[in-house]
Amino acid sequence: MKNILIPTHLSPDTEIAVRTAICSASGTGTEIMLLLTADAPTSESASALLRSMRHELTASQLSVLDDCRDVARKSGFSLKFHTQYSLSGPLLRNLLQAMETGLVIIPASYANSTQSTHTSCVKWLSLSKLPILQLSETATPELRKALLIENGLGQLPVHELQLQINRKLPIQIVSQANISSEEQSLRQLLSETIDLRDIDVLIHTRRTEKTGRRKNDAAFPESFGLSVLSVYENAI
Amino acid sequence: MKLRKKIAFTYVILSFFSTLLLCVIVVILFRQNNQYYFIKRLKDRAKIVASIHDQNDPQKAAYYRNLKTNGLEELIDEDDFVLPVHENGTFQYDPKLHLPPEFYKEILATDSSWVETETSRYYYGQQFESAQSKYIVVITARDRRGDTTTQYIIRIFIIGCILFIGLAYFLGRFFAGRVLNPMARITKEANRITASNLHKRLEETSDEDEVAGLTRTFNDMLDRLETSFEIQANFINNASHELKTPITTIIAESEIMLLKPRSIAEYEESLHNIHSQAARLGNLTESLLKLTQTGYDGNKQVLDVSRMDELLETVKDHLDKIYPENKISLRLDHLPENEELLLLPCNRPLLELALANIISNGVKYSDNEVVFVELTADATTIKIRITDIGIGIPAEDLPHLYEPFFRGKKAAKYTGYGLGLPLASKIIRMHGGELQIQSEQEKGTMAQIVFTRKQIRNSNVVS
Repeated sequence: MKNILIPTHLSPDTEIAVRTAICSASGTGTEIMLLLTADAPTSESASALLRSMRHELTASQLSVLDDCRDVARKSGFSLKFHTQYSLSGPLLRNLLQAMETGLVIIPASYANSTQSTHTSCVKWLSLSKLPILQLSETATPELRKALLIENGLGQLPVHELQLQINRKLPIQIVSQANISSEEQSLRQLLSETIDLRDIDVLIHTRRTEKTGRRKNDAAFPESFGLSVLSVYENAI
Repeated sequence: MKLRKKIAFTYVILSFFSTLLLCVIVVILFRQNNQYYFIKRLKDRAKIVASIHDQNDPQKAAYYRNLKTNGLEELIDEDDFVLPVHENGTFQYDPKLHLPPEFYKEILATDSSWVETETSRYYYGQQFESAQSKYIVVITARDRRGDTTTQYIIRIFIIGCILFIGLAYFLGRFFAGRVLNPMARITKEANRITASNLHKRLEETSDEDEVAGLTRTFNDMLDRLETSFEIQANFINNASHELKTPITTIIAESEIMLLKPRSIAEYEESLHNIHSQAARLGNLTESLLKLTQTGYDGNKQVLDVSRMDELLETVKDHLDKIYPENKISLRLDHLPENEELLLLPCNRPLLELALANIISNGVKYSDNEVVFVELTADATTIKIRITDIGIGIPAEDLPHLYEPFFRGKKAAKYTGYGLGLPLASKIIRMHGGELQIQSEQEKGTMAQIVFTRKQIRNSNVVS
């Protein structure tokens, strides 16, 4: 198990993400990395830049950070905090590599943020090959049962996928549905199943090809208000 | 056959127009050719007339006149005129000539011209220049032969066209008939298929044309129709058959409990049993209803991802309640190390039902002898093998196993309705599986269920 990255702007639900990370990280030696992204301030001179780049966390952010550290310390995990000014796609890729990231957990407030630094960070993360767990606002730290949402052909068989996921997360796939057609007629069935079988995370696979459809595919699972685990599918 | 008429009519019209076009082009070219050669003859004469006019010697003039009348081929109504041209560009007009002024203008401008006035009368004029003066020679004649040939050709063409239309009509009908024959055949065959013989199919031809495609489409539609028809027809059968067992269990349980007063713990246990059976009943009803809604294609449903060994354990639990003396032996010792290989996306209540049906058949027809249920799985398949040492199935009954309500002769002394196996086979087919049954009379039966996993080309999620 490699390290877990949590991009955040230190809103209260970061703590949930940290707890989820602790639940997921079964083995030892896993580090949890909080990544605070911010815009680089525009300034004329190097010294002005350095001056304005000082860590200026607000009181609430500091308390969230402290809480997270408490939670991590109690469970015996090391928590690192990293502030990144101005991010780009290649930079993020190198960062993920340097941190030996194996899983990305995105808190709900971060995913729903409209700030350009946050949205572009989420976008670049989705281009990587890592599994991404996007938490919902009502998420509990412990995720157990998953519903696999297939979207079309060329899909991994469910046993393969289960194998891959268990390397990262203790999640059991209990149901699967194909949404390649007739999304609307399935919606009701899906919500029924989610209620009936206590499903708390949806799984869907993604590919890095930048096809136009990808956005819609991702939007469908998110519309159920559950956490969504997005797994990179390397289909050649 | 309206389409046949339409095709024949279109064919006639199209061929008529193309033939007409050809005829018109031929006539026009023919006429032009005639005119060209006739004008050429007039030109020769004009030259001779000019020579006559030029000669001062009357003997030579007579010679040329003789040459013109006797030396050249005769022309009908031939006449010639010589019109002197004055210095100022005017010329002496001959009152016998009634020609348009454009004709003269063209002669003065380009030295020669021709015009056709009334039917087939041609005038050719050319300007000559001798030592003393300029003059115009106008030659006229009637081209009766050219005219008659043209008329003759036109007549041939008209008659030909009429004959051709008649021929085209018959050919068109024949052609349309040939094209539409397969359609007529399909219509006839399709008319034979009614609700009572939905299993019949149209005869498929080996050609790869549109009609073969139509036949195939029609047959596919019949397949779907038959399946849904079967589901509709069998729903009540399946429902009553499958709901019978849980209801029997519930009734038996409650009857035993009501025999005498019992302790609270016993009541609790009994109520628990009744509750689980009732819940099973509910699940089953819902699944059967959903099956009727969605059909057997299995695309429009949310599937449960279940471990096969767990599923078999559940089935055994159910059967233990119905047949308390059973000797079902679950053999799970050849399981793969990789537990994920046991996962199968399925409709769990239905698949449980199918397996319970097959296993209970084994128990029932072997009088509670040992039934082995063996589960194996590898990367491509999941196999469940159910072996009993019962009465077996006679070879002549094997083809009828999946027909609803079929009961083998030997099976008559056992209770049953002949509904379990057909439904089980359908459910297994729906999950992409295959049910094979091998049997030998008085020795036993082996049912093998093989689920094949869908294969993908490259199965690496990058970790």
